[in-house]
Amino acid sequence: METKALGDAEKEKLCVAYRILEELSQHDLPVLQYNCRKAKNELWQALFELDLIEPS
Amino acid sequence: MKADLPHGYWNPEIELLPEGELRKLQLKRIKEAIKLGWIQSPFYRRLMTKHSITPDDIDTLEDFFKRFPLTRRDDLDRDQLDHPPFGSRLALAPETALRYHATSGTTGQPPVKAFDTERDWIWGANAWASSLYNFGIRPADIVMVAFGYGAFIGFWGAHYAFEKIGCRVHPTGGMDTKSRLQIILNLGITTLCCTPSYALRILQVAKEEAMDLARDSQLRKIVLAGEPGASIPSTKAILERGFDAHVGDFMGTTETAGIIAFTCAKSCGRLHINEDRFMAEVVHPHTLAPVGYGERGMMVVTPLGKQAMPLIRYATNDIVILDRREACSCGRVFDLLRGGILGRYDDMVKVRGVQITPQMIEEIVRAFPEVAEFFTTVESRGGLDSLLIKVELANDLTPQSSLEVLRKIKEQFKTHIGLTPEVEVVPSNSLPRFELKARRFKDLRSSP
Repeated sequence: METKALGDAEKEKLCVAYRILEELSQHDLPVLQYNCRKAKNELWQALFELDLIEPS
Repeated sequence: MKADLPHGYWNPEIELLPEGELRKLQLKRIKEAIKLGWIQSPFYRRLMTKHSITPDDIDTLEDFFKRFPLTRRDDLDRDQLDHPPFGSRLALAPETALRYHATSGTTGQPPVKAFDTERDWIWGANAWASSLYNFGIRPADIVMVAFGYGAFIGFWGAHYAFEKIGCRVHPTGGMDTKSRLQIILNLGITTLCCTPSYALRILQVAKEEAMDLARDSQLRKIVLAGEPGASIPSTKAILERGFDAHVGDFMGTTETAGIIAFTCAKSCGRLHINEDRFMAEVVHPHTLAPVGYGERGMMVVTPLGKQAMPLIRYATNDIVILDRREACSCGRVFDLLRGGILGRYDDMVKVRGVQITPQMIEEIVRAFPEVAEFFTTVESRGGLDSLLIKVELANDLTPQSSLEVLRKIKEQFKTHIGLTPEVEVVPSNSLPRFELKARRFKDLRSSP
């Protein structure tokens, strides 16, 4: 099966989603902070595997 | 001396709603659960058809309470026998499952098999996470979860919830109590999560090993679930004293998953119901009519937001008393359960005309620090029903002091329950110990 390559627009969406989650994981509301932190770290893994983010 | 627990709200947007808004939210979520059941769950489609109702008939909470039938444990058991392995309650195909789990089966019934989608699993873990945060758990806590990590859902949700909050979690499945004690001391554990019976066991083994956990450990928060002990005043007092820690009671059921009610940081002796995640009702166990605040009844719960296995108006058989939210100073809109779970209707027995539950017995016996462990049976002796309590006493008691303890135990039973038991001393470590759900009560009258 042919695998569709990831386009620049999709890469940008992923990076934007990550930045949003990163910002919300600093929120004062625990329900947002903790859920977004977990989601952010899950997404970080995808970005890392796609080589769209540097480990820091 | 332990510091106060940090007070906070996991989700103030919901926890501080006016009551009317909370009820609107519950109704919206109940309607969603009913619609899911009607469209996708053959079990609920049959039940609703049998009772001549459709989702359109439930417009208000009153409609729901009056018209929607209860689901009982026997219904779930029968359904799983007729439609193995998961029953016809499923609203989604088993292929969508992320995890499988089962009830502990300690009540003598077959275990209920359940599965969760990924969203269900997160829902259950978040019911734990919000409850733990509201009790005072914070990212700096170092946690030991002391259970076997088997098919029983037990503390799995707690494990994930502690991680979500950002705590450091030490799972200790398969370890013995002495190994766990070493971890508590060596790794600076601040929070212990287990059943009340096992927390008592940890204190007992620590004593045998000449350890003083109140003095030598960093433990300051004890998270208890799986049994009612944390809300039994005498048991709670032993644990608070033994660990010099705050003790929280977290009440849930495997059938619903998640935490239904929790102790908040204000520790008012009552449990807040997670009313945004559960619709809880208290009804008379026989007439099923709603009972008011302050009256004893059976808890009926509907989890709000579950996907794979909907459960609507589940009759828990738990005995509870509902209190108004104002009885706690924390300001949450969530109503309260006075003293947590007071017992189970299916555990209640009548002895010489007196109705008793295992919790009533534990409340009296645990008030005696000289008692290390106990076991109760109801037997027929010479045609008369007798309550027999076997006790293990502390080794350093003189024969005279032992007799005095036995006399006082009998006296307390006579005063508080109206029944005088036979109390017998048995050798140390001869009675069973429990890691999961303890069974310290057996009615032998019905045995062949």
